[in-house]
Amino acid sequence: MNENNIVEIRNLSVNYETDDGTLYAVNDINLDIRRGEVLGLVGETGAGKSTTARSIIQLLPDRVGHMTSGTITFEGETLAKAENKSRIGTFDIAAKREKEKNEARMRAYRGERISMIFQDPMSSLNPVLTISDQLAEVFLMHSEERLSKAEIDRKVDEALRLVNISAERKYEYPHQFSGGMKQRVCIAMALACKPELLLADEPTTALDVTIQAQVLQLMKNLQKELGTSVLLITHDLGVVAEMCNRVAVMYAGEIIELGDADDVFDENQPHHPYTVGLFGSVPDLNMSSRRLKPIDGLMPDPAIKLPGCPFADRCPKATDRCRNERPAAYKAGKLQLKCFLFENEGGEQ
Amino acid sequence: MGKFVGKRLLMMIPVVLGISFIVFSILSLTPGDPVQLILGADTEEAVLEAKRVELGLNDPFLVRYLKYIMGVLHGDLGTSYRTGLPVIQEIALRIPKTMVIAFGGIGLSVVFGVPLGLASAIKQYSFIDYFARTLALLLTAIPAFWLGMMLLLKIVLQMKLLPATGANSWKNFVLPVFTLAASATATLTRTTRSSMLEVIRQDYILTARSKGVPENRIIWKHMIKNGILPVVTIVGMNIGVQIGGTVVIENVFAIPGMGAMIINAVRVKDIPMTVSCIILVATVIGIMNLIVDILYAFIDPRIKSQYFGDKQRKHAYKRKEEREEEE
Amino acid sequence: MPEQEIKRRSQLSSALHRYMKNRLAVFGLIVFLFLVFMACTADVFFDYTGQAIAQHMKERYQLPSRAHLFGTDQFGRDLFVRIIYGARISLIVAFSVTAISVSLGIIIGAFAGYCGGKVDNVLMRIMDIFLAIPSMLLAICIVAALGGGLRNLIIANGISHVPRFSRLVRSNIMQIKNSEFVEAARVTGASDFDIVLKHILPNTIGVLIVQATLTMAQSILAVASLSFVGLGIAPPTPEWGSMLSTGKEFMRQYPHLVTYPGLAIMFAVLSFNLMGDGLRDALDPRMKN
Repeated sequence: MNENNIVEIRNLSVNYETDDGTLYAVNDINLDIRRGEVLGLVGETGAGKSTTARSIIQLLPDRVGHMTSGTITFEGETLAKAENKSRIGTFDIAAKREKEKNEARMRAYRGERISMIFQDPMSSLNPVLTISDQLAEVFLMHSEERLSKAEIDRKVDEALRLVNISAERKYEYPHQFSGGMKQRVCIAMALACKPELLLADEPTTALDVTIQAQVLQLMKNLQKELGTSVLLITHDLGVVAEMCNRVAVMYAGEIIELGDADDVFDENQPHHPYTVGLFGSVPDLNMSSRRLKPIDGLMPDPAIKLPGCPFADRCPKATDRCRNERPAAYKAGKLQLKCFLFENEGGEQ
Repeated sequence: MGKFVGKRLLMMIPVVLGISFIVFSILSLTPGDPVQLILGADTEEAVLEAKRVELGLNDPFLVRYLKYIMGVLHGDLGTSYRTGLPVIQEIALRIPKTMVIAFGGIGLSVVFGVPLGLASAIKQYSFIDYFARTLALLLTAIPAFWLGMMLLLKIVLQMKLLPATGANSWKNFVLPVFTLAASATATLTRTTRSSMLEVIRQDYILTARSKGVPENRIIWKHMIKNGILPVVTIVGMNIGVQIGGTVVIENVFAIPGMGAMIINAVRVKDIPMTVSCIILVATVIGIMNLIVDILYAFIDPRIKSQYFGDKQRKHAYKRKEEREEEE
Repeated sequence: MPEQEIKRRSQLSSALHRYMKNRLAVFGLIVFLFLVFMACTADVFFDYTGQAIAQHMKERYQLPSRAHLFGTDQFGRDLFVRIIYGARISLIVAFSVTAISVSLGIIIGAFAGYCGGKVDNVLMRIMDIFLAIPSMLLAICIVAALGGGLRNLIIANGISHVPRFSRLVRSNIMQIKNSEFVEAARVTGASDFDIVLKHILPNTIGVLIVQATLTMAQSILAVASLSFVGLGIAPPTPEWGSMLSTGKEFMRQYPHLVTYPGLAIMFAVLSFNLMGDGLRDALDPRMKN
């Protein structure tokens, strides 16, 4: 394991088993999160970004989400290994105990070493509990000694101060806060115990643009101050440009482009055809054009496991090989690209 | 809060009046002569007419209605056509028994139904889930009076564990309460289960999990308060159905409550008795619904600010002004 | 060139598909169809006057046997035959009550929803008043006022279910009304009309159908209860509730007199409840996982 990495994901595949069949959400991805960096995970809705994040913190939907292959390590420790059977039999006591042990360990980590914030602040806070209650909960869960009420209050106040919310308001309820404030509370809860890793799943997507800027600035400052590593999931390229050190582009459950943010945004670097389309579809205020330039077609049906490259149907440069064979990740320029076009340039990663 | 309660109580009055008018009309304006029904169809016409005068039945409809309402407003619920005794006397004797069964049934159904529904939701697809759901399904389909009869058969007649008739000891009320509770429990189990399942899916539960909160605390601190809200609503809505069911159950177990009284009264078109009973029942239901709504406000802070919001806003304003003064 | 097929199913067929996958719902449907079949063809297999009504005092109180599947009652009548004919009555009740309450509910609800304002207020207040009376008591009153008998029972029950349907229709009509305003504000042509036709109306019908099945279940129970306390259908008509009422006297020695009619009620009500649940789940599927 590389000392610089706080998280290493190898060969991760995740399925959702629903009543209507299996959905292949994530297909064999490799990803590292480096210590202290902000790694952007970009892609359309349904690309598998949230699934990836939830796999790291082991909060896949109960009974439905299964890690079918791969490992995830956190600070060198194996967090998760794929289960051999998707359901553990009622009498498999050893396996059950193992599962419980893992779960207990994850619970200790969640909120303290690995935190997550979610997309919709309007529904992320419990409507019947005060802000103070919900913030205090993080401290209650993760302190070794019993804390007095005064101490908890103090910690809650400080957490609120961190996100510029007046401590006076801590006895109010979520519905009395605006969307931006609610998200700031969520950030406060996530960073309260100064975790090493923050998973941010589209934290500003549901906010107004001006509030978005505020919240992003806040996250940027806190990240610098605390040195937290961040996995920032977004579909907004502007946010990526503003916040991220490195970027991974995800499509249909696979990471098709990976590299430093500057390089991914650099036109002169070779890019995956999808990325080209993605950047091309962003409207340019400087140019006058009459029509938007979307990418033709739709993302493939996640219920079908395709043999070849998932982008083949929509790719203007696709060949028969693309449809039948899965490309590996090749190095081209300063980036890693999962496309046969770059096979011969730098070799496999 | 006093204002809120007062307002609601005031709003109940037109509803109760409306009910009284509707029932009064239904009974008065349809064919069927109370006097004939009471004294018998072959009684002499003179006797019948005398009785009609005595009961004031020859007055026009509206006059009779207004006389009745005026009486009610003074606490006089009228005189029974059938017995000649003040209605309020007879109701006072019988209403406690009916209320014991009705509220006992509701209470028992909450005690059984809510935990069952909760367990069913938390341990979805487990044995207890299937058991609870099957039980609920069957109980909603079983006619309450039939269940009562079966229990009567088995427990009273065959096993002789409880007395058969009478209404003097608490033992007489065990089976009626239990029978009424049965179908109510079914409804509550299903409601609680589906409500809790909704809650489990909510984003804030995921947030709590991401903070490392263990399952137990998630259930007790996060889920229950949220999931109980629709249940409270359903309990309120069901009270009317429960009281209606009590009427039939009293018949099965021969309990001399309001049920028998209403049925007998209605048969002979004993208008004061019938209308008074129904008004009383409607008032009880109205008050229970009010209590349910208040309870709701205490559980859900969003509703609280809706109902009592003005006070909070004023408070916040005052504080803001104070702060501005200091600056 | 392999192309992905995007399966498109019309809303209706996907709902039907979901319904059929639900075993309990299918069971309910089967029981329901069986009841309907029995009710319709009873005269082919049995003789109404001869077996269900006429008394055969020599064969009283017989326990279930091969000659009499469910035994005989206190007048020597075959209980099984009576129950089959009872199914006919119960189904007639269920359908008529539902028909009345749905039609009245649609009229009142549509009126209230479309007119809005004062008309809406008044109508809904009246509905609230009816809702405030327990339906059992309201039915008792109406039956007492009009007299017993099948027709009046149906009217009584029909009236007590009108408020619920009128509310459903009203809220859907109000939705449609609002989208009409949108249409007026933006000149877009057919698309809003499509919304109304393809989304709101099917939703209305769906909710109405679910409520209708539940009403059918409740009306069977209600009529049985009313007959049980003597306010409904009088003997010798073979109605399940009145059979229970008369059988109650002898239930100690002959429990079969009350067991079978009760079971019949239970299965009928169960089938409607299962269908209602199944329809509700089929029309509004959520990820149960």
